[in-house]
Amino acid sequence: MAELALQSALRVPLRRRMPGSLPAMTTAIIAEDEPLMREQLKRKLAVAWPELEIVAEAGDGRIAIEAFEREQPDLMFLDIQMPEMNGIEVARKLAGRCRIVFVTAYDDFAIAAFEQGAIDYLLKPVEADRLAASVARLRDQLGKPLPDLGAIVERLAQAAGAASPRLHWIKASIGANVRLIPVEEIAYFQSDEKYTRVVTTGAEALIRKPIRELIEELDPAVFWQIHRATLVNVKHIAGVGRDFRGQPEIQLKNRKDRLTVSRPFAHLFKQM
Amino acid sequence: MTTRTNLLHGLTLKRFLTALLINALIAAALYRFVWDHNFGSAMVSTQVVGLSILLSWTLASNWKQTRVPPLFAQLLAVVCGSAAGGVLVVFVKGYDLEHVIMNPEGLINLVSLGIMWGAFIVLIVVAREREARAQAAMHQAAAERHLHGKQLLEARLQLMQAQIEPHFLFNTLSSVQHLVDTDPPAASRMLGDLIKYLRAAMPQMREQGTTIGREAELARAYLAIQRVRIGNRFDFSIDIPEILLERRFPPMMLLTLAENAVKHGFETKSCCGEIRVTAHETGNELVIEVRDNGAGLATDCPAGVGLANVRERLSTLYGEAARLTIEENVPSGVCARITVPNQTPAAAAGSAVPAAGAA
Repeated sequence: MAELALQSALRVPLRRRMPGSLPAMTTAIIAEDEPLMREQLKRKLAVAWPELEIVAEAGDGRIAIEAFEREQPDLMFLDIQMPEMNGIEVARKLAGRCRIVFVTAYDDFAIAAFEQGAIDYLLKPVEADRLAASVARLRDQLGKPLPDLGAIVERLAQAAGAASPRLHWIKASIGANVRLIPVEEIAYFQSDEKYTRVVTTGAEALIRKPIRELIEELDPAVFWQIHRATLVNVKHIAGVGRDFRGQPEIQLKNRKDRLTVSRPFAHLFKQM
Repeated sequence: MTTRTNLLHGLTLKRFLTALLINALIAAALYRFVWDHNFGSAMVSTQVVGLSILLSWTLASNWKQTRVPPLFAQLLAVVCGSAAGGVLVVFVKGYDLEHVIMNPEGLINLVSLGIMWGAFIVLIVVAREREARAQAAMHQAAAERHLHGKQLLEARLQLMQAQIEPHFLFNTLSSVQHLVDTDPPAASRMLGDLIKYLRAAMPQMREQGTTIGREAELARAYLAIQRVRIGNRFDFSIDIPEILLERRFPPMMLLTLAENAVKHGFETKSCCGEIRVTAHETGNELVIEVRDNGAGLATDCPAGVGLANVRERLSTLYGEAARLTIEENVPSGVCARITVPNQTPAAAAGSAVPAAGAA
């Protein structure tokens, strides 16, 4: 039942290899979220490699993994930008279990990484010559043991920035709505008893997330702690003056209020 | 010659008359409360001392030197001026010099009174001058910043308008290439949309300004292409009242919101939703909204340069009168809204009115 639903969702019949049939054909799965691109690659592969059997198609990363587990193909053609799970994450899960060819568009960040590693890739739109060369190489490699792609895929994943998620938006309730404020726009955060004040050039909001959690999640090169209760966006600092006690005091661009730098953080603004 | 005029710089008639008036007031106060001999005598004393201070201070304030702080020099000039004034009073009134030396209290009182008042007034004048100078410098800086910012922005604006995402172009052409073989009518439609998109997005094909109607066409072409490309994962509608179509609107902003809705809403979501583009006016503001019910913005998703550019351009074009707000949509997705001051077509039609009146 589930398989039926899946089949109809993908609009492709799943052909099973007949047990005991002639020398097993090479099998492949195409994972690509744009249906036109999927169709195009399939047609071009049919010309360049008639004996290749496409045993499943997937419109997102999760379906690709499911299809892999079911079909155990020799090859996976993986688009990099896919919903649910991107191509690099899929490759991470499948490393060492089948050959992988990335299919990617112009200018993708990963091309340099592919070229260093042994991973094959195709550039979209796929050209016949390039595909033929790639098919020849793949055919040549089929009898040989699988290369260990684990390290390369890990490197790719890092290049894609999957490593540490940073906070880029602050969600703050303003009236009945939840406003999304890009952190670049925030001049400073200041804790205010129970809440944290989020202060932008023209507005203010309150959030519940405490300063110590924000410190962990924001880019430390951009948001500096200057006081137990204050995190300031370096890009919003206009200058540093001194207050009447001689403590450093921050002046902001586009805002009149000044922020006190407490003694433990004063070293941040010492002259070099 | 020039030195002399320079040294008396600032000694205007207004200042001179003000000094006479202040001297007279002091004389009146002295006559009424302190001294009991005649008013004319008090008047002569205060005028002589006051004008002496005025002259001395004017010279000091125009004296270009770096050894002493200017304020100190000016206060010193008040002291000297007052003392010289005191001596002058003795001669003008023809007092007996010996008598004055034996009983100097009167003279000392007069001179110290001159110093006190003189210093007080000089301090006020200096403070006011300083404030005026600071204010002028601030205005100057603001004007420069404004001009500079505007030029800088115009340059960047041109650049940004020229940026058509190559990713988008290649993917679309590749889709068209495929459709040519499999579904020629669809290929033709997609090419038509691409042409519309390119025409609107190419900087040299744009006039300086653009209207909401044209920007909506650009967004429509873009959304139609993306919808086919990513497999009908979303529907879209563009609903803009007829009356607003001809209103002026900055270029490429609505497109950025549409791109964002597709990117954050549906590129990472398998199925299915809609994008709605609407516009309305509220009194003196014009509001354009792009609302989707897609995956929504994860707080760890980079904000991207597109939205930051929109925000920056709005602030340079309109200052605080315009804004970009991004909110969560209910139950899912994002609502992005641009608010700009409403420039009614009446302003553009204004030039026709006098001609009609003259006829």
